[in-house]
Amino acid sequence: MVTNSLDIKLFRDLKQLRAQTITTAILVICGVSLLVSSWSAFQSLRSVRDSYYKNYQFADIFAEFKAAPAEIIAKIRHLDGIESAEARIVMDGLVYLKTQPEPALARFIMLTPANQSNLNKLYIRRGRLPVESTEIEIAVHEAFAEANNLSLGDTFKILIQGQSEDAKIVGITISPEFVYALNPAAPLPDDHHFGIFWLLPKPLQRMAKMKDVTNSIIAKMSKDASTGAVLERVNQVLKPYGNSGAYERKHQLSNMFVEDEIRQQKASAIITPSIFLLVAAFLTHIILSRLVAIHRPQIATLKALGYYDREISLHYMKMILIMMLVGAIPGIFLGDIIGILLTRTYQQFFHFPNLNFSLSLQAAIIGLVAGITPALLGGWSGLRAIYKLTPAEAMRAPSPPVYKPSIIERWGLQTRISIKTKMVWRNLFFRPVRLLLSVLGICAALAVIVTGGSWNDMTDFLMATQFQRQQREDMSVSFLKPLPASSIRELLNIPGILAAEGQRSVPARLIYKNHKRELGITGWPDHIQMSRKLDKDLKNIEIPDNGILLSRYFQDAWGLKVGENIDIEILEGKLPVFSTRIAAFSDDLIGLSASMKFRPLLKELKEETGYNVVTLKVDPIKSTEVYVKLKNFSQIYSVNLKKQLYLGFQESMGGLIRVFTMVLIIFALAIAIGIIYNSVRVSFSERSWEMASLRILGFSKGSVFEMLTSEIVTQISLAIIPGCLAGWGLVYLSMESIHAETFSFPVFIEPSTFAMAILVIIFALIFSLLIMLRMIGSINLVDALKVRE
Amino acid sequence: MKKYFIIIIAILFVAGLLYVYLVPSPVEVEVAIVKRGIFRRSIKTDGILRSKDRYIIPAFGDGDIKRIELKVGDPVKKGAVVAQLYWDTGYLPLKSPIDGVISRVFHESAGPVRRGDQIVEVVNPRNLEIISELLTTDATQVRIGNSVTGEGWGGKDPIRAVVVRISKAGFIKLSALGVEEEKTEIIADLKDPSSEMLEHLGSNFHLDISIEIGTIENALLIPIGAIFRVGQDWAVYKIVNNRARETKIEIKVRGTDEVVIEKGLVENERIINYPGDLVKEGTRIKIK
Repeated sequence: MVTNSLDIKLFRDLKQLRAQTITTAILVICGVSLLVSSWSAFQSLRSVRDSYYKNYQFADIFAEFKAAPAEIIAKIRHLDGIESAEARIVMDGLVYLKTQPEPALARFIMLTPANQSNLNKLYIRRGRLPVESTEIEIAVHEAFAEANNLSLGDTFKILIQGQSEDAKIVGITISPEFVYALNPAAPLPDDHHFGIFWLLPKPLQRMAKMKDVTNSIIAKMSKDASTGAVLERVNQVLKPYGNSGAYERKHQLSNMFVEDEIRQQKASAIITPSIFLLVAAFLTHIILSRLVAIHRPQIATLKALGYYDREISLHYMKMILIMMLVGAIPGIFLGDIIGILLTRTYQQFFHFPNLNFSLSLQAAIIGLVAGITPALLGGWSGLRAIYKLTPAEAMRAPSPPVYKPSIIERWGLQTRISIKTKMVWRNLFFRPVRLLLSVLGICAALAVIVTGGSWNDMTDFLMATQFQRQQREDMSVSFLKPLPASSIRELLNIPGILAAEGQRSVPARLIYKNHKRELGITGWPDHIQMSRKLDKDLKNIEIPDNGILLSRYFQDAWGLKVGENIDIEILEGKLPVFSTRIAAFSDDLIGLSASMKFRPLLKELKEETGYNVVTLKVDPIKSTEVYVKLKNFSQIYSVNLKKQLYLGFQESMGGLIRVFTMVLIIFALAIAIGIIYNSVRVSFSERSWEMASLRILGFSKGSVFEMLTSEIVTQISLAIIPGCLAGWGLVYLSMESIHAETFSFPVFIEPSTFAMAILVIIFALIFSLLIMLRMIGSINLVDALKVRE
Repeated sequence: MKKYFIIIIAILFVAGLLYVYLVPSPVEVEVAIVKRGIFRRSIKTDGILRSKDRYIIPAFGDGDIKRIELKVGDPVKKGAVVAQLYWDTGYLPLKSPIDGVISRVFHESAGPVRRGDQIVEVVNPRNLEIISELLTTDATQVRIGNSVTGEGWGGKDPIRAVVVRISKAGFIKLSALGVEEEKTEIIADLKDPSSEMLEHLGSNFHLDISIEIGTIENALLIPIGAIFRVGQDWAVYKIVNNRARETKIEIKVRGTDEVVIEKGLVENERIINYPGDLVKEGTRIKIK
């Protein structure tokens, strides 16, 4: 009986609070859905990856080298800490599809026959594995197959080391080694022009002319082995064979991307939803405290009638809980949908056997709890007030609030300012906590928009810096082995090639005290126009005439200083070792680099000449012919079409980022409207009595409106600068949290992003005020004045 | 009054925001100035230093020679004994005809030789010429008298030489990129080599050379990075009032670093080098 009446009251009250419930609910939906989808994605990505790697025997140790006799595998297998190992051949070549005029770059990998211990096993999507046959059978990675519409039975020519033969697709497969099908030569995925293929030893050995020779080893470590020690041992064995350094899973290309994504999902599952939910807590606090103030007489009556404090508190708690649940439950469903969309995007880039999104129960529960907690936190003080209210006291009119002289009075300005302004001012600062919370909430909205917009800005900056300012060439080619300057002359003679600059790139190991690092050293010629190095202020960095230029990372992490010497081991050719002086540091945005002048580098290499990378400026009219011609030179190992990469990136990643930013803006708008509307609404209802009095005194509707507007505009104005700063700070923090080693991005936010953030808030303001306008018009003066006795 | 004042400020503020949001910020570019100067057209390729005085010392008769102890690079004086041939009654010396260094040893071990067999080659390392194999399409552009610069020999100053002969006997050779090409030799004599150069240079030393095949005086020059295609024509972005303006040009000669302008630009105008994708007609430019 008792509960029923309270519940009826509950329904009536909720109906009255429709608008506020909805605005708060939208906020909670956003927060919960983001949390649930990110957390679920994080969990499913992680578990899919773990089971894929385990079931398909993903190796722990990888090593690539020039060439070693196949028997070397026995030595590796006997090393302490190695459980199993396989030797194979990995060879780059070309593939000629009938659908494309130019050949595609291909990485051919030797398939170990199925009866031997199998590492990096293939998962067969369609078809079967190659077997011995009259023609060459190959399995192709599904990324390439999908991008080029290939099917089982398709045949095409493959070119390996100058040998061209026909091959037939018998299987479309994926491998844990290539969850992310990235060509190490190109920085961005390009499934149209780069494919991974697997074939049996016999044809590969025959075409690559590598019988009984291996150039790649994969191995599994035994359980308690120490990675560093095992890598050292492997390196020792492979030293004489042009080893570029064995590495562990952590540094395997495909895995690195997967790891990064998992880590980012985890981070985003925590950060963005927290903001939303905190704001929801603020709102609940505001709403509930207002409600308590208004319902004082009712609560007092209920208590006087005999309801227990407990029951009444529970009643109001039910109210805020329902308000939250109205958001949390749809939020979980929306999270499911977002998760599915997210997974679909992942499937484009990450090739797992089964990447299905499933809403994990854990995530749903976390979402629910997260949805409800802000209610409890925010409503806490209101509930306590209810608890403490004594009926007798409550039935009396509330004692007038204590007004202390505000700043205006203390500075003696009261005569100079109009009454309206004074009213606005005193009202704002009367409740400093509420003012603070409102302002903080708006700051949060601004910060979220700035963060969203910054992704766009920084990607644009990165692209512009990399491609517009540093690598300004149209194409670049890599040679199989270093060639003399006449090769550059030969390239210039090709019609369509307008300019060419040659460089030399060598894999090397930098050693300083106990620090070691493998990277590529680039030797730059004297007059470089196309490819340049820039510092973080985008000014040209001169390559020092003597000594070496290193990334700033080495100064910070290794404690190196200009003028000190560093030891260098070259990992190819004659394997020379030398020591050189550090001339300067460069602030690279991504990755680590080492640069020297061409001649001094060659001198250390003990070579007379040798370019292995040439950057080209190409006449756009002849660009396809040039590309095809370049691809067909036997000495050219790869041709990079910078523009193509750039456009490819813009399509895939760029679009994704834009969608993400859009979503973030919508969410921030929800926050902004939520706070602004509620703030104005609460303010309005609290002072309906005052405003009615004002109207009767003769103030126009416009004046009343003006006062309310001034209040909220002041709050927004106070929030603009801190909000933008907070946004900047958020971006800074998230930059710091990414793989700090090779990523030293400056925080770069365009003024237009800040402008956009402020405009969104203004939009929210106008929206809320329009609604307010209607309400002011309908103040029933007589009723309003009846509130107090 | 104050109310209107505030409203106007507010409107201006919002207008300002819209402006910042909508109008793209100026693009930073690299500026090049159209200048007049000498345009040098050159071919850059590899070359080798070869001694002009090369003497192959043959065996003057059938006999046995002692093991030759001299190694490639050993200096020898005129008249020095480089090998001993047992002929008839005793060991007779094979002598070096010049002051120079051993450049090749054909017959190192002791053993029988026939009359006329090549034993040793001696060269004069101070009398050098530069040999370069050019593609015949390049070679036809070279003239006797063209100046040649050689770099990469280890010293600071470039080696200067002059083309003295363009061989008419071409040959087919596999190019650096692996294609069979028709090539021919260009020979250039060193011009005023410094004593440092003569000290350090030797036969078969590699050089990066540059052959100047033509100059144009008083040419209007721009860097090659500035040009791009508009349809079938070439154009550059001229900077006018801090905005990029597409300007069609006519190219007289295209070099590998610079381009000579026939029409379309005037000396001292500013253009954008390597404009990149962010620059379009009318884009606002910020100069670095």
